[in-house]
Amino acid sequence: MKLKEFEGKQLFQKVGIIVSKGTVIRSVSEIQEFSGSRLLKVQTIAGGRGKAGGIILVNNSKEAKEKAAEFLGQEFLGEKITEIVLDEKIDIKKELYLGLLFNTKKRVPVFIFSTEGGVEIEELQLNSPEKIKLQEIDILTGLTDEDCDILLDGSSLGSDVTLQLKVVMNQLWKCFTEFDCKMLEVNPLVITGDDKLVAVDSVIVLDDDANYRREIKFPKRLDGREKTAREIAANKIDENDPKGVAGKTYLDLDGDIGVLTSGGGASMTLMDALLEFGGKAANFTEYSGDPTREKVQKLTRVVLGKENLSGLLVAGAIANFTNIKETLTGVADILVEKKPDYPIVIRRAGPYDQEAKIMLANVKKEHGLDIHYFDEKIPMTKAAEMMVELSNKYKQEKIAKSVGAEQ
Amino acid sequence: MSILIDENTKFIIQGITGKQGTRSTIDMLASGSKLVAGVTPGKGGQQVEGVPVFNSIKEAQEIVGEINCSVVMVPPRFAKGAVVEAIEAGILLINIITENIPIHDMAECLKLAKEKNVRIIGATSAGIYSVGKSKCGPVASGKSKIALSKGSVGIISRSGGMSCETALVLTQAELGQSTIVSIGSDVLMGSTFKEIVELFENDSETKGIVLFGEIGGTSEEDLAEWLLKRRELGNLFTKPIVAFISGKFAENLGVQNVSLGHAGAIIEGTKGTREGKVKALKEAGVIIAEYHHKVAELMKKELELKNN
Repeated sequence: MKLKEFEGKQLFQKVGIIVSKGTVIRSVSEIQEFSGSRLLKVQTIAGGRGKAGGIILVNNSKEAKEKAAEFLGQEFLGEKITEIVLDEKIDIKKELYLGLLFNTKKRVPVFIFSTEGGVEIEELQLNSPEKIKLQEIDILTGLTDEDCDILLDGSSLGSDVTLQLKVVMNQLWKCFTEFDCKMLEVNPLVITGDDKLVAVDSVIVLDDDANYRREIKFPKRLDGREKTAREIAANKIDENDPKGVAGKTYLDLDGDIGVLTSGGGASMTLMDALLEFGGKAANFTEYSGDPTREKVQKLTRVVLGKENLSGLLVAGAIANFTNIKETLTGVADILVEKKPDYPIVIRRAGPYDQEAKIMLANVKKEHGLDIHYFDEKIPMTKAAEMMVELSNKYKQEKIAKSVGAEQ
Repeated sequence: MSILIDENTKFIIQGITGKQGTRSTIDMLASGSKLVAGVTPGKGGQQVEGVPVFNSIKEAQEIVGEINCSVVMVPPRFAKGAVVEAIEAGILLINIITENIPIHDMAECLKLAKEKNVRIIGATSAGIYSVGKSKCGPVASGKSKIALSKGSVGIISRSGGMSCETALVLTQAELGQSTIVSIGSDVLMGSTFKEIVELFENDSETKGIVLFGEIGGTSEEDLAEWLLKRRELGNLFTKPIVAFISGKFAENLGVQNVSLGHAGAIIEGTKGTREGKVKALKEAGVIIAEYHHKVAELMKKELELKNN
């Protein structure tokens, strides 16, 4: 999870790094009277807020209130803004860049340092890559004096600042390891007029897999957009029923083919195949890990609740242990209830798939549903191809029918 | 031959008394794997499906003798301890099935493994399957075994479920498999495409390699870079490689690998996107399948070309 600037600075402070003095503002009325310059900083998860006009110099509280009102509760960089920070204006002598992250190729942590902070590091990489220093860190021994010396070699910052910088580097390493960060960045770390080091901004991505052992907690966030009613309904399915997963991820899309996939890699591969063969999905969702019939019923009801569908694709890779009959009975229950006239393509294989096949054949016959069931004899993505063909045919026939009715 | 594991490999499961461990025990035994022991601290002396359970790997080694591969199926918070124990016990191949291991724990395990020359597959691996010889982990368990057939195509997959499905489409095209390796999809992987491709190169039984890649990370690009370098050095990689890289839909949706942010760009540049991966692999001579089941047809063509 990515933190906002003020949250990241809380972690910096915990390891002793000095940060710029700021006040978090959640409503305009919280802004107290002041005069003199401050920086109004919009708190976003997305990067690039400075360039987008999210960092503004204000000269008194009246200006601050006016500007704050423009942002709070409004959309900015695709996010609904809930906080701004009024930050002290710092006397800047020089700006530095410090970062820590993992190199996925070498599989080691890397410390990044540059004496040219303040600009985006990608920009620096492009224009003056020689000014970026990288040092791989041995995670078993931790950051050493030697690592710091290598990073600081040739930076000519004077012995006093250099000494302070080494302290900050060690504090950052502590922050990185103690709070299980996937990456962190201070840009800029400012050298003030009186040679003090102050962190003015923060970027931190926490490792969610380590949430259990991190004492400090941050509120969970949505990724900007508000959820639709169907998305909320789907996400609720797993509540109070821990057997398997159904609807944990659900996205409303603007196509016309309803989708029920199973398995992470398989679900992505199926969505890719629909796209490749020219089909448009009405949603994306997934169930896996042998969920109950009831949970699959609920998820199917959400998927079929969309108007103007032209097909339903139920598919997954060959299953190790998900009971195919039980889960597909959950799908069939809702098909019987709603009796859609569009084609339904099912590709599932695994335990009890032959029983599922018989069950679906009966449902098809009894209720006149257009079900096409395939087991492992047809590749999963081939079923997606068939779905697109059948859905196109269905749409053409529907148009032909409506034209016929008009004439 | 085959890679990593064969009919002589002696396995141990760490976390054997858990639900997943027990399920894998039944399946590994049914597949003919030599599962000689299991470990669950505090449960030494018990048995799971006739396999003796020990409190530690050391104890197990004293009783059952040599162990070649440990299959880690403990909960994520105990994973680092389990892996360190296996490394210190001198086991040279560790297959981590556990998901959601903290990245700092994984980095420590990988550093230690490197120092001790231990190979790690995973985490978040669905296992390894040398067809007709032995297997470990949940890959192609129970009924899904029908997807496999013995032959000469190696599979490396970042997706667990799709490793078996990839075998299935190959089987349907009458292309059998040598070894299937599920490498997982974590930010830090024990073994990447490149490392497993190298193993397949030295395996006389393997004639071609199929990859299942995903967006995020640099494992596909790293392989491409290595293949290109080989070409430049006049040491061309000669076994055909066919890859399917998923993520078209995700990228269309605007879901990107944002986890590494700005600093990530310094290390990885524009790597990580499907487009970038496909381009790099194509330039390195890898054949790309635009939809998944096409991998079989493309591999068949490549192998026929080679035989003529």
